[in-house]
Order: sequence, then structure tokens, then C-alpha cells
Amino acid sequence: MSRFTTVSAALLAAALLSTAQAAPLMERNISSEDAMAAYERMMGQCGPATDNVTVVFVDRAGQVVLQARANSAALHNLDLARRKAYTARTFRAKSTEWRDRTMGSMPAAGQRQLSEVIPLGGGTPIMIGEEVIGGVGVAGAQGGQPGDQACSDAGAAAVVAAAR
Amino acid sequence: MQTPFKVLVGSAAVVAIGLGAGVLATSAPLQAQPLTLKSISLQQAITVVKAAMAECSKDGSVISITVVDRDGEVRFAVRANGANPHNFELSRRKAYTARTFRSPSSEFIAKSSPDKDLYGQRSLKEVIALGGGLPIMIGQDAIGAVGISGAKGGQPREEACGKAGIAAIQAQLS
Repeated sequence: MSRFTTVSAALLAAALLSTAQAAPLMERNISSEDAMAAYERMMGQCGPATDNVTVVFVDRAGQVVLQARANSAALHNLDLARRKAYTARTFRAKSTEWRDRTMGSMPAAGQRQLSEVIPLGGGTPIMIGEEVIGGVGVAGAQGGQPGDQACSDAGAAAVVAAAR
Repeated sequence: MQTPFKVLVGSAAVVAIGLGAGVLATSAPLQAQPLTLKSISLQQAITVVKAAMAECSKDGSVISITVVDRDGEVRFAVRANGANPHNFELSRRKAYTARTFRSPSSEFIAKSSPDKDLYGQRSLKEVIALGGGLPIMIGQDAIGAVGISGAKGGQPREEACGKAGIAAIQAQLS
């Protein structure tokens, strides 16, 4: 028994020691400055009707960092843009790609049951190498989902360029 | 049972259409115009945000800021780096409060204090009794509002930054 107690105490001490030495998690994330810079830059690359383009940037946690609702936005556009950004962030894929791999009877179709995702093109993850630090979502660009996707791609590229 | 009911409904519809046509015929003003109201544009909202951020950055403050339009809906908003979880919501609710009461949210604190008749207004879902929200006015008309949270120096400083933001579009507010 006493030997068991000694071993237990030693293990406990080791556990406490390792806890004391544990460093906090360091996570890279999109900054509000980079989101602002990227928003303005992408607006020059989203086709002729940029006045209609509604944009949302989410951070690593999927929370909104920046939202810009177009003057002519439909009532649903802001929510769509946010959900496209969220979808791209959480699946670390363009929302067009995620839409295509969750269709109908595909094994991953059940992912569409999540409450905040949306199977529509126009969302792009913001990647630093293999690491995702946020997402961009676009609604209302000319050309429907392909137009939205091209625009959000430009937004994600602009963040990466700004973050350098 | 079904047929009489249909007939009845049909008759009622005919009567209603007849009445409607009568009203339209007698009162429809040919000059009728849709309602046209001013609301802050996205471009203006971005200008306000940038100017407010510039003012707040003078003391190193990083702010969460929201501009709402005439309807109280978000037009443009930015969340500060490292913001606390509540900051973004506060910025929006301060803006909403300033817009809907057409006065600084700091004034709403005193107007709705627990000993006042208007205390009940605090139970509105989106309003907040905290300074840092300012209406964006054209004369007596509120076309939007700005709300700020997270400044060093708290509510008075947030209001000052909001003022600087609105000043950047003052020339267009007439």
C-alpha cells in the first residue's frame, strides 16, 4: 500500500508540475486592420456592380470581424454572407466545394444539418499555409454563386497579402 | 358543406373587391408617390468608422464599432483585435439606442433611470443604457447612428470618438 501511495504521489506531483509549466495556446487570427484593408482591396476586384456586394469576414473562431452591407442589399444578404464565411472557415474549404461534396446522397450530406453552415458558393477560407485564420463570405455579386465565389476568393487573397 | 362555403367565400371576395375598387376609384390620388427617406450609405458608414478609429487610436484604444442605418440595421461594423466577447454586441446596441431615440445613448441613461417614468424603456430588447452611441442626424431626421465599445477612457471617450467619426461626413448631412 505504501509503495502504491508513493507512486501515486509521484504521479500527482508530475501531473501538477507539467500543468504549471504548460504554456497557453498561441493561435494566429485575422486582425481587424487586415480585414479592413482586404475589404477595400477586394472591392476593386468584384466586378462592375460592387455597390451590390455584401461582405462578411469571420475570424478563426467563426465570429464576425467585419461586416459591410451593400446599399442595395436584399434582406437576406448579410446573413448569407456571414454563413458562407462561417462554412468556409469551419470546413477549411471554399463553400462551393463544400456544397458539391455534401449533395444529395453523398456520405457527408448530413453536414448540411449544422445550423450555421450554408451550401452556397461565395465563401473562402483564409489560410496561412495549412492553418485557417478566418473566412470571407460574399452575397450579391454579379453572376450569382460563381461571381460571389470569385469575389470571396479575392478577399481571402487580399487578407493573406495584407498579413504578410 | 363544401359548395355553400365556397359560394360564401366567393361572394365575400366579390364584395371585398367591389369595395376596394370603390375606395380606389374615389380616393386614389394619381400623384401618389412612394415614401422616400434618407438613410446612411455604406460609403458614408465606412468614412465614419475610419475617422472614429483614427480618433480613438490617439490614446492607443482599439475599438469595436458599428454603424446602423435608418432602420437600425447594421450597415458597417468592425470588431476590435482582442475584443471581449460582449464588446461587438455593445457597439451595435449603443448605435441602435442612439438611432431609435434620436439622441446620444449617454442621455438615455439619465432619461430612463430607475426613478423615472421612462424606466420601462430599458426593457426594450436591443437598447442599452450606456454612453458611446450617437445618432447621425440631418436636421431632426435620424438617418443612422454610430456605436463604440472598448475605448480606454470608457463611455465619454467612446462618445468623443463617435463625434469625430460623424464630423468626417458632416458636410454631407444637410
